[in-house]
Amino acid sequence: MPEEIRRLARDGNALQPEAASSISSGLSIVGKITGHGVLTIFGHVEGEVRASTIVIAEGAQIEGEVSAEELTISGYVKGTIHANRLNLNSTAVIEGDIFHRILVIEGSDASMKSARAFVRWNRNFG
Amino acid sequence: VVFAKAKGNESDSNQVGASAQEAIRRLTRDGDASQSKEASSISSGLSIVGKITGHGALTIFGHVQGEVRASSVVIAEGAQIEGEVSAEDLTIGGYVKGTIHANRVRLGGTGVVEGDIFHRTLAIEENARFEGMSRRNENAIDMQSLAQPNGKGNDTAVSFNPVS
Repeated sequence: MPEEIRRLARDGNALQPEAASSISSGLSIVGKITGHGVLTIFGHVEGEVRASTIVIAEGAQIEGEVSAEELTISGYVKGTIHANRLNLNSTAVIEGDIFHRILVIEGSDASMKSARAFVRWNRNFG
Repeated sequence: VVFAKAKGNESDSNQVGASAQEAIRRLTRDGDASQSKEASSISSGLSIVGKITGHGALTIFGHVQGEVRASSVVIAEGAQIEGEVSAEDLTIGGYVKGTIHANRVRLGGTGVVEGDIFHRTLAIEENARFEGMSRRNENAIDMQSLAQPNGKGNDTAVSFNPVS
């Protein structure tokens, strides 16, 4: 399974175009990204981002509102975040409000040091 | 407390895509996904309204309204683009409404283009639909602006751009 996902991510997901999107580190998008499925961002996005599952990889930079059911952040986000389940990795840097149902912080020391976040717990998200 | 709560809910919220998500998460965290940094893909479930610029390969299955610029662009069957498309290599199997600038253009059998094509080489397959003007240019695209979308950093003596 991991091998397949790796291949899908690398090849731009030729096998299941429905399933996954990827924005490489060489790419910048200024505007609004909306849809469903998995979206992995390595590059720069200025604007609103909405998808079912979003992975913001290390090195990625997002300026704008991010909304997802499942959201994993290893990069930089400046903007409001809405997620049912938010996974913050130790390299994540957040500037903005976070609205979530479940929040997981990995490597909590590093995260909290670098993150300037206002975390609010929402029972009735969505 | 938050951590324990999250761990406890994890099994409950597990769905079909959870294992895939977990794998992607692991790949991202481990830096194993560095291979995918080169290629971009916009799935059929995704719409982008705005400007997409950069280098590397970009495959579009979804909808884009706005300018698209990359080194190598594939507009797959089912994809819809409304806006200007610029690339070194461009393959079209979907629908494009707008002006096209590319050194090499391949219009596939499922491709539909409504707009003008500026190209160095142009291939049109059987059953493709093309409404517009085609013009041949030795340099169909502005390579400088393609390689450096911000148009900055020209003053530095060291060039990191292999494309001349």
